[in-house]
Amino acid sequence: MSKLLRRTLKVSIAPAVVMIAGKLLGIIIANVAYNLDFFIDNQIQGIFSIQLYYTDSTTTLLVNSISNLVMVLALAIPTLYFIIKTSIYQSTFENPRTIVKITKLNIMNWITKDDTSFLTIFIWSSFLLITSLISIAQTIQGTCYDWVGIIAGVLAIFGIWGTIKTFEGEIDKIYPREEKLYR
Amino acid sequence: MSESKKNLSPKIFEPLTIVLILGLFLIPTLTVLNLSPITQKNKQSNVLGVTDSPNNISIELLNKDDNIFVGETLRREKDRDYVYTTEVQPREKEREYSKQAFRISNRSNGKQKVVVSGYADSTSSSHFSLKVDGVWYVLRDDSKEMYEREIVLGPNSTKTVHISTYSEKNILFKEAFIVNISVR
Repeated sequence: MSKLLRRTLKVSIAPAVVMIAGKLLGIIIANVAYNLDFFIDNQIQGIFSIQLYYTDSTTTLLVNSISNLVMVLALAIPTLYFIIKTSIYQSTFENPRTIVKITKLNIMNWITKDDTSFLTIFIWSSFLLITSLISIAQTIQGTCYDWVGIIAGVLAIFGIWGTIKTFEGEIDKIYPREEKLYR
Repeated sequence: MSESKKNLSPKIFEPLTIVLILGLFLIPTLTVLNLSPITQKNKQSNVLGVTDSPNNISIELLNKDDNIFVGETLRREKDRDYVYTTEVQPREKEREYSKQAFRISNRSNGKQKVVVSGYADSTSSSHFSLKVDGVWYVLRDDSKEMYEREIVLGPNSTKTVHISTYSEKNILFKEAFIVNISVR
């Protein structure tokens, strides 16, 4: 089996678990915080056999929005951390000021080893993109608050942008740009 | 031979790994979509009134005031199964107590069968029966034996079901009586 496939499989497990756990946690938080009564129904039609439901649309909207927000944030925080960490790591090679800044901020451990690969960022960003698309689609359908959809959209854009930047950084390692070498 | 075996394993495992990776993306997506709640009328609530079933049978609790049969409930367990419960108060020997319990309506154009069975939570020798159109359906007799009975409902008909109890001895304590109603 190829090393890349094995690594992809290994890296994909964590965001998949975080995605489901985030949604579940959001539902639990909403139910506990607002003391809501939820119901579970067995469906014969459709692809899902079990369906969570509420008796009024306002409660459904609230629970769905909170759970979507928790899920998006649960994926966005690690993704942005990986992106920022990698950007800082790459920046230290080019700019000595970065080293001074991170020494002042006492985050030297972020640049002591390159343990975040492009693959990790790409997979986490993909999961962030999926959750954001779900939230945006539900916002358009009217089953999620607008501001949750907007936050999800903005985070997805950051995720994509960060992934592209990391990709460029990785490419520069293999094929360094001439102006960087001879300035 | 061993070389060909060596080369065969990636061919087998690589497509499986790709499927697994795809599954890791698809399964959470479907799970999240499934976990998204919807708005729906509650079908499982405690009825205490009219209940409808897909086969056009409805059962309505009459809730008439009575000194012997109190705290009546009618609960829908599944689409075709209902449970009627009542608390039967202490009572005198050799006297029959009866009251209107519930009404069953068949709104279809065909015959419908309703199967009833009942049990009490006590070891007393009380008789418990249902009475429909002057016909007695004994559900539990003095030997504590329980019986399953079948009530036939004609097309577009409604029947009022009475619950009745009788005992040879004085009953000095409360008993819970449960009737399982199943539409066949």
